[in-house]
Amino acid sequence: MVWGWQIAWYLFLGGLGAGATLTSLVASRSGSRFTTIERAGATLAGPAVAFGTALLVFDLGMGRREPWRLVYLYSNWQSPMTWGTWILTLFIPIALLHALAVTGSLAPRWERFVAPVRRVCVRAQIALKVAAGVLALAAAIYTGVLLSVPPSFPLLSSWLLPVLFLVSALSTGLSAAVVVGHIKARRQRIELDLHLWGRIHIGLVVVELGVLLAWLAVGSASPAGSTSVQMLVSGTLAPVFWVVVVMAGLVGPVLAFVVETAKRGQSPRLALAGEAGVLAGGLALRYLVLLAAVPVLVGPAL
Amino acid sequence: MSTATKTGVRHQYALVVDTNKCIGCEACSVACRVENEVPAGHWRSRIVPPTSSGGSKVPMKWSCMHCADAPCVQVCPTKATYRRSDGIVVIDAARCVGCKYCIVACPYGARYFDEKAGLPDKCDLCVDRLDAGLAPACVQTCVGRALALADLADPSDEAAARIRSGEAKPLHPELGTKPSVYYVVGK
Repeated sequence: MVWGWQIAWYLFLGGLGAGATLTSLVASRSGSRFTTIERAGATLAGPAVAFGTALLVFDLGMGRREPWRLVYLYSNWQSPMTWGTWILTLFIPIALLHALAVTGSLAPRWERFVAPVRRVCVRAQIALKVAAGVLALAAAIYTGVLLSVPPSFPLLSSWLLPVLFLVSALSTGLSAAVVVGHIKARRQRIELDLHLWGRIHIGLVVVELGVLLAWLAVGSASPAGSTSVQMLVSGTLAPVFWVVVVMAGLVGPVLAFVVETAKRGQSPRLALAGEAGVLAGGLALRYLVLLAAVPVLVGPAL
Repeated sequence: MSTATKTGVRHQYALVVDTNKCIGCEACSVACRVENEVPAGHWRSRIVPPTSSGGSKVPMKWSCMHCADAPCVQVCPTKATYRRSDGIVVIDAARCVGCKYCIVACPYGARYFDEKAGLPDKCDLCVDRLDAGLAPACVQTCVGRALALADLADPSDEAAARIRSGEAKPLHPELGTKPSVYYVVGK
């Protein structure tokens, strides 16, 4: 696979930013006690996706040396990468404007620069939320579609990959919003209700575990796909797959959230350890998807 | 679809590889490397040696298949990769951003990324030579006359007749990309 760490991080951050936006939107519908999570999710989405996109551009050949060529990226409507270019181009500014609409004032010396824009954003809040939600869903699904369209890597050429990336995006975005929200709440000495998020997260992680297993089962139907799955479950990539993706990223967090939920939010450290595990697992998953991609043809056979 | 050149002649190119005549000498790979200044460590055209298990039992010339339904053309976001009306899949170096999606998308693994140029590259059937009325370097050089450029738009073309008769077959048609490189095997 010619795509390396920059693309793995981009896939992770793109999903995370999309999930953080959707978490923010869910929080805003769930009452004022979730304002901290709403703001945290909205604040980190734009910068996360923008940083991921910067990595994507950094990975380009001539596009990095002659940036004006990037305008050509918008031209082929048959290409998932063109869809992605449009999605990112719209999503990053909308996510930033959405953050302005829902967050509080900055320090006065900075606020005066953004105050006029913020006033417009607050007035257009509903439109911004709808646009941010639609674009976030599109961004979360698109990263999987990008990899699943070509026929060259059977493990990736599955409709389950976009589903897996969507669920993982929701999960990592939620984790990032909770971690950032928690840090902010501690600084402001306010109590953060992690209980609801732990319950939502149990559902998400269980679904992700199911989709992951289904994806591996479907992937192993072809010879090359079977080699890929073997690499993941019992080959060179198995230690990272089992320890980081499965244990730290899925099973561990479920246990942490179950215990935390049973204690009705009295173990924020346990919950935060679960969130950190989800983030590590989400990043490792993107890496492994690229590393385990075995080409459909290893040589000619007539 | 075929194309009309400046002289008004229509062409629809394909490549026929007669594996019965191939001795695996790699002259085609060397000629390609010299003609196209392929950087060390990469190839536009190569010979895959025979293997005792799994793969082919004869040496196989391996390069871009110039697919009619090319995944590289579909996924290229900039339209830098496109299929000419004479059937040759080419890269417009002036439009390409070097995203490598075409390399990821090619099921035949026929593309490489030239780090120095910041661009992908692959066999283009020596399109400059073709446009000048010359055969591709590999075809010109092949010592066993195992390689032949076919023109499916020419009813009298002998190599094209081997394709039309079904004697020459595409590699891995099950991938659904409709390749334009055809192989004659086991006569």
